[in-house]
Amino acid sequence: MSNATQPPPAAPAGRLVVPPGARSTGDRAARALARAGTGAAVLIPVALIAVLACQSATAPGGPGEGLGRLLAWTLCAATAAVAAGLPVGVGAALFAARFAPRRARRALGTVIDLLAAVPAVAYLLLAQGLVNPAGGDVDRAVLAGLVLMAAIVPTIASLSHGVFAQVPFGRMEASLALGATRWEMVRQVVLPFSARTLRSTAALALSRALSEALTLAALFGGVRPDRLTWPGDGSRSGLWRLLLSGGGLGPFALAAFAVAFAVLAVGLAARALTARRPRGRPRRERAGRPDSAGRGVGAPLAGGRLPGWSGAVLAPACLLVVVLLEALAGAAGLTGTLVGWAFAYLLAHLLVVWAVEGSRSAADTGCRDLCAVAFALTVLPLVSLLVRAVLGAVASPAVFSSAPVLTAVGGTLATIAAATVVSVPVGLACAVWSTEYAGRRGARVVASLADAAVSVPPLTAGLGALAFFGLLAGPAQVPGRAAAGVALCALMIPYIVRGATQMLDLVPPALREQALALGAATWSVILRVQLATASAGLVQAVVLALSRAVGAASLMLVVSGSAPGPTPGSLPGWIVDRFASGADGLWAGVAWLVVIVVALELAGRVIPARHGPRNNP
Amino acid sequence: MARRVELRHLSARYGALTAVQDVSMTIEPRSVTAFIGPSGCGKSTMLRAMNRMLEVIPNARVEGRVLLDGTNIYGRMVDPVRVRRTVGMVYQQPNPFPTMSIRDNVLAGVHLTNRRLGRAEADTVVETCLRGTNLWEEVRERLDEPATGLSGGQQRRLCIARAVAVEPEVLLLDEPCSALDPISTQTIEELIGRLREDRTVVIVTHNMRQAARVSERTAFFSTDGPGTPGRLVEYDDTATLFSNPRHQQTEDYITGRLG
Repeated sequence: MSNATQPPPAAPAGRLVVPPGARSTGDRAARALARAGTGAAVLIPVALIAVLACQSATAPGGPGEGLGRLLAWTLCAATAAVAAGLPVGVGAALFAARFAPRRARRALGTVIDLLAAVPAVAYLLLAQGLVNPAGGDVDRAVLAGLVLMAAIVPTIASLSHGVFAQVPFGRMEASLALGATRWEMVRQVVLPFSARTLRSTAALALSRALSEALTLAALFGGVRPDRLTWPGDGSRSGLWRLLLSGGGLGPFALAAFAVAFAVLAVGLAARALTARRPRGRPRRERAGRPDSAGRGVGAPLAGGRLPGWSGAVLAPACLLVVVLLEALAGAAGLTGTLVGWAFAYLLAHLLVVWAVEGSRSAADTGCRDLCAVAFALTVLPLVSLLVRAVLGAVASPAVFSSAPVLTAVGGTLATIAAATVVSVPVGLACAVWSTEYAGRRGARVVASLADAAVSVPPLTAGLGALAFFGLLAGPAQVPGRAAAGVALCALMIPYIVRGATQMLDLVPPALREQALALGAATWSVILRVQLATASAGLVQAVVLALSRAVGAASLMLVVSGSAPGPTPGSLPGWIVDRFASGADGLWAGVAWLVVIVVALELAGRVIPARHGPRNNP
Repeated sequence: MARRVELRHLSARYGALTAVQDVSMTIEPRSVTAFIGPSGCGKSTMLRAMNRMLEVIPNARVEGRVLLDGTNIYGRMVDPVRVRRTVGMVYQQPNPFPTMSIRDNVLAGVHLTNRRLGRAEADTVVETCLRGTNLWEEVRERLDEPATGLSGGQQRRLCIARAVAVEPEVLLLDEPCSALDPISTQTIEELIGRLREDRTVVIVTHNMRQAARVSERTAFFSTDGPGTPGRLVEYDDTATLFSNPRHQQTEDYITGRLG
């Protein structure tokens, strides 16, 4: 037992108890960064709304004469559009997520997300096509409602598609294994699972609709209680006049502020209402017709099914009937024939299924067909827009690549890039704070605020930015692009916070425990485990936030398109300008806008795929 | 009421990967058949193929035939919904519907069939099924509470009750007793014994004693190595298979020299 065989005394390990001030620099920096990000994330939207509020309250002219009517029209139009658009959007999402053939589902899901990213400005143009040929005597209120629907249905569809795609596979399987048809499975599992999110989706759609309704009112001039005057003074100066009257904010801005307040209140109330735990409700027994389709002992498995060739017989037969009817009535027209054919086929198919396969099967078929129709309706505006944009661009290729358009494209891209550079770090830091440092209550507060902020009408953010820069530089010198950038930040940050928090919550707790057990410092766990594991999801969340924000680009239109300050050069502004003046190059602008949106969306699909571990396929 | 199930050259694939290859066997009505074998040899896949639940999984494909009393369930005129109602299935992971109460979970499958069911009759169904799974005494006071509040073992028994309530003629149970305590296990084994009287029961289990206790026939599945498709090695009376296996691979497995 000499000293030589004994191990040398271990070097004194680092002290176990550390005074609070002596934590590692990395940890302190991480915490400070997260806190700063959270502060900024809360501050930016709040500041914009506060500025708008102050400006509205101190507006010299007081509430303008049109305020009441403007508000009433906006609320009615938006509510009607949401009421009509909700079933269509949800149906389209259901079709893409559950009813479509399995191979097609992925592609259809992409199409739906793409739809939500197309700026609503583009849909406004469809109205032009609808108005002009009709000679201007269509009911304009109805028309405005349709445009509004075209603008918000994709948002609804995209949000609900996201929920439907998250329904746990095991539950759907369990329902099918009990002998449910696809529709019954949807009713039993998918809809209850999504009910809560669908309600907040409706709130979000309402805010989007309010925002777009105000934009519509601004674009097309004076508003009367029953109908929109169409097409009014849509020039930039007209828009500007609506925003500012007599040096202060006009009735338009006041309306936007009131709407934002209402939406915030509704959103918070809805959240409080839906935060309850889902409970099993005792259900009333249904006394339906006993299932005729062979239930019980020894029932045959086969038979009572429509053979595969039934469609091939039904479709031409229906076409024949429709054509004959049209010939008898003396009416003809390709669109009418096609619509009639589709209608007749769906009806005949439903009836035949009912007769042959029974009521359950008929319900299944009927719901699938309805959802398919909803999907078609949702996609129709985009398709027609694409066709016209492509045709327009082909017709005048020179305009497509002319200097003014390219300037506008560059301006838009620069605005988007600047907003991304600012809001991504801020949003991520806020998400990290909420998942790592905030504790349960803090996390809930952040989540509530983000949810409420997401549903603030985009237009309000835009006007807030305008008012803010108006204070700084004077109403005549507002730098439109900077204001648009700030507004875009205010829109993106809540989306990023929401998405990133969800993604970080998905990281298995076992991973961080393991890392901490290995002796890693908090900041390194956050960076190397949490953020690294969630990276794919985080990229996706950022891109989704970006495309949603760009989709809600009415604010960019109003802000950068209408400011009299020294900044032309945004695509929505360009589009409105051409729309109002009737000059060449309208469709070139739309085509560019669509190209940008599609590129963003594709980036959101491709980048996460080669980044970090996959989330579930 | 029970049906004979015949598998004829049945293969199942996930994309390019063949999970199980060329399985042929006949499962007699009013009997319990156990599927045993190492993990990943395709036992659960076979179960899913037997009630057309495999086609719900993306990329999964089935070749061959499954005859139910002579009718091929993959035939062109066969309605998968009817197949699934006739051939019930309980999954390895308990999956009660979280939005429904305990009572509604038991009745979930019954509601689907639009059966005329009075309040009293529904109560009877719920009580019978829950008694059958030995759950009644534990939950009778809280039938209207959410099913997610139950413990793991209770949830599993609830899922079996839910499947039994539809009165399937063939019942497929995927590891019905894994992670259950011995008392619950015994309850479920007794339930299987009762179900056998008028139904065809197939269970997948990793517990060979359980297989020996409850089943008349046992099928041993295995693979020839990692990455190779699973196949049916031996299918025989349970007593014969455990006491006098014909294949070396079977003997190695049941004596614990493998897997």
